[in-house]
Amino acid sequence: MLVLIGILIWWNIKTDTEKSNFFANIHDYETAIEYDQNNSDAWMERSVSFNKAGDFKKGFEYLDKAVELNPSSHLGYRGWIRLRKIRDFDQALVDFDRLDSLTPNFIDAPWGENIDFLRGECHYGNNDYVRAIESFDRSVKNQKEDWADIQTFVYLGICEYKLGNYEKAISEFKRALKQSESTCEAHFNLAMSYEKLGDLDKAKEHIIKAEDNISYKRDDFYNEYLNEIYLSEIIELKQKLNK
Amino acid sequence: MRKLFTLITIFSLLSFSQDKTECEEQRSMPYWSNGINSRIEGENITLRNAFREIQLSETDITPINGFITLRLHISKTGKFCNIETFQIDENYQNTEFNSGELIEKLENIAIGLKDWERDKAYKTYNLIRLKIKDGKIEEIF
Repeated sequence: MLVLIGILIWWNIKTDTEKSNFFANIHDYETAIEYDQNNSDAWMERSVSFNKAGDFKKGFEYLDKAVELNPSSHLGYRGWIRLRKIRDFDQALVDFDRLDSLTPNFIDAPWGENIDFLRGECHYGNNDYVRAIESFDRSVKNQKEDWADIQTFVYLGICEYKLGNYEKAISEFKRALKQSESTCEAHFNLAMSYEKLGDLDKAKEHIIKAEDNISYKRDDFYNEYLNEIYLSEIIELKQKLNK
Repeated sequence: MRKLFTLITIFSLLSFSQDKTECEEQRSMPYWSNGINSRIEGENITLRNAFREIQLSETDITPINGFITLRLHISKTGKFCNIETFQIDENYQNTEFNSGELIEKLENIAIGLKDWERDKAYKTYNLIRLKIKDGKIEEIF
């Protein structure tokens, strides 16, 4: 009985904000929001399951509220969701640019990824390869060559390939392989680039390496990456090269 | 003969009830949970091939921009159970592309997809997402 009274007193001396945080910590976001309508983290967390399950109308209702309450904390995540979950590249860029303007002299990392890498992906998704290269280059510059996401170099290579600059594409893919020889995306795209240049021996060499290293591919069962490759594509190119 | 007929009837009913049970015995686990790793054989290449024809033929979709999500519930043995659909415009508000005709066509294609694979035998759901841009199906993933 005394314990019960103690718990009641403890609970009643807490502010609504503290109660809201308590419920957010135990993942009861609806109740957290009921206690504090201004708990932006609770609004954001409430959006997660809806967006993961494909109900973006509902997910974005919650996420938009989080952004409205605390833009600098949630704009990056919203941009990331727009990019990775629905490929709304234009609106993702709007979010990333706005976040950047709110955080001067700071290199943002929405959901743990460099903002210029993400902006590069948006431009790449929009088939704007020149601007994608600018963003990816900025990402490498800001993070330094050895710390940049290895896929930055793969994207740089693909952008050059799309622009018809096959020699430049090859040098970008080699930057990725310098970080890790098992980057199958680099090998696959190297095979395509060498094929374009008529060097079939090198193309064959890299398509075999792509196949051997497919288990290291960039993979995420939540989302398909824009530069994701598949074994069937590798086999198809391999057969074409061996004809 | 009557016994045989009775046996066939009972067997058919049992088979039917097993099919029904497989889809209804549990709620769908999210695709990301418990290491289910549900996917279609050939992954997204298969999906893109399946929707290729409609992607080429539907070039005047209205509203011209938006997003469609197909949520396919698949039984623990990889059988299609049911489908939920979500259609939103570029402002993420509910809409109906081509007054609801497009989603019917997409549903029919999705229902025909076979060879769902998984690492663990749980009923789950998979998402197929389509991006509509300038009246065309721009992305299928």
